[in-house]
Amino acid sequence: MHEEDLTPEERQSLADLTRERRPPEDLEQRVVRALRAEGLLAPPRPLRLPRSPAWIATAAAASIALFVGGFALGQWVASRQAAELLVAMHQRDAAQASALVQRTGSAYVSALGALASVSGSAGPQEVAAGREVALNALRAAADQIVRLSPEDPLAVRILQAVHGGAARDSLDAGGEVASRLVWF
Amino acid sequence: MPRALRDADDRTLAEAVVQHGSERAFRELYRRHTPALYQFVLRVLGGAEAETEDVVQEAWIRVARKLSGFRWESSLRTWLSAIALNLAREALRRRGRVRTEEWTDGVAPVAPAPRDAERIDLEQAIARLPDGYRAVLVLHDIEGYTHEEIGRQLQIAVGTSKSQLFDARRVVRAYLKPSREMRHA
Repeated sequence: MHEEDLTPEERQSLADLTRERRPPEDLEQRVVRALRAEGLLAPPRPLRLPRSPAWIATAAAASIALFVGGFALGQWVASRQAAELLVAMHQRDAAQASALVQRTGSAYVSALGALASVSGSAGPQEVAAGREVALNALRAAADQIVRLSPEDPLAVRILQAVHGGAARDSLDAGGEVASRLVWF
Repeated sequence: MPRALRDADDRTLAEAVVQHGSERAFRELYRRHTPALYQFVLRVLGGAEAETEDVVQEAWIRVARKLSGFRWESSLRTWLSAIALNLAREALRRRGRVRTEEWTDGVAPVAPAPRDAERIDLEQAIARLPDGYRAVLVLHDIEGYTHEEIGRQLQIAVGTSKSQLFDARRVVRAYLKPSREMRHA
């Protein structure tokens, strides 16, 4: 059997086979590293910088510009972060204040409920004192609600009602405005 | 890569590597010859990529070590291929895949032919050959070596090379029979 035994078609098939194949990308670098390690290739040259006065001046100017630019950028980023932190704190304070209103409002209503439940058995003076404190608290609260929402018609009507009631109470009491408020 | 390097012949580049340790010159040599070398070694090793990478890397290292003593009686590519082929044979021996009879006049065990439904192309058929058969067929029918060159390279008799080639072609034809003989898909 000799090579002449190949048919023309077989020869063509063999000739058509790929003669080259791309090796993996990192193989070249591996070979170069190995040759460097053996001292067969020169080590890579360190970067040699020009030493002319003009080049040094340019490099110094560029360094200063880079430093100033970096400093300004740092300042801007820091101020932005501080502003964001204040906003976050403000938002957290508002949430805490709302929660406090919720808790104290519940306590206020509960306290009035307790006063009402004992009003039949307690002395009239104590009940009147409790009522006065409750109304003063309600007036103060109405002031704050209107301050919070000046355009809110419900808040305005509440304020007018509680202050109107207070005026009538004062007239009924002979002009003496009750102002003994125990605030909390 | 500078044009001067691309235009330089192998010998000029090799001298730059030997005399100055020029990495650029070496990289040009590497890029010029490695794609063909890689394909050649990959075929001899039956498609084993990891072993092929190791063999190609080691071949370049050995070439670089001996480059100063290379007399340019053959081309750099021929020399490189010869070194790579020896390394590939060593790799096959380490795997224990090359049996003695493949390198002598004995008949190597051959994988069964694929079933009719399994159509393979010529490349796959060559990869399925026993390692010794495949080396001879790749060297002779693809790389164009003579039997004398194969005998020297593989350290076998010329007659052995011829008989190995005969057997290798017979097996490849058997592999391709379900489709067409030695058809390149």
